[in-house]
Amino acid sequence: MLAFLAAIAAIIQTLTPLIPTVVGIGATVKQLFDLGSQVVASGADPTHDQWATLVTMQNSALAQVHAATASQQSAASV
Amino acid sequence: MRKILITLGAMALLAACASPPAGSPPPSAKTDLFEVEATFTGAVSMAGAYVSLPSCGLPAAPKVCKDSGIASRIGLSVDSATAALRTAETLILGCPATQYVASAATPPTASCGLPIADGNAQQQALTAVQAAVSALQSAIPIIQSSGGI
Repeated sequence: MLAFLAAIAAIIQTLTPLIPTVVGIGATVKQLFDLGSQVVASGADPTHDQWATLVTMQNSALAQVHAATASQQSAASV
Repeated sequence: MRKILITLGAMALLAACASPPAGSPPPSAKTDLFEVEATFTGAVSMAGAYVSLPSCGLPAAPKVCKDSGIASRIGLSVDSATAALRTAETLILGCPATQYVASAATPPTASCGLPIADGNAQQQALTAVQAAVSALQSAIPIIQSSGGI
């Protein structure tokens, strides 16, 4: 019984640091979905404000990927 | 965990498949571009979460980790899709989207905001972007578990 609880605790300990990440991605995807749905439903071209929101989110996401891949490359070269 | 990620992936795909209201005119190239950019941004967000994980295979690797080879391929796919997007933006918006957004606040340049390609060239660019974004989506695995979670 205690071994089972220890295994559960280990799994929770592994996943806990990821929960903010998962919540963050969920919020981003939801915002993107809402933004895309608004544009499609309006039947008009996206506004500058909608483009600005999207470009900001995109730049932020790209920065995270580039930072992580740069970090991986520098670790590999050590 | 996997269910959460699958759900997020499904939402990103749904964002790309939202339908215009019945009877409305077909979406413009700008709207199509916006949709694919939103899908791309969702995919990049998921890619960022994956490539930010600690690497598998290290002695102290956690159960949820990244495969370095997959992370490298994701990086290349992101770069490839980004390049295709910038080309499509220039053909459809008249300039890269960052510059297009800035042009609302400052006097626009001669071409920014004015499409510089005909419909066929724009459609070809959109098709290329969609293919590149699909390739990126397929490069992102559901988070690997080295410990059998």
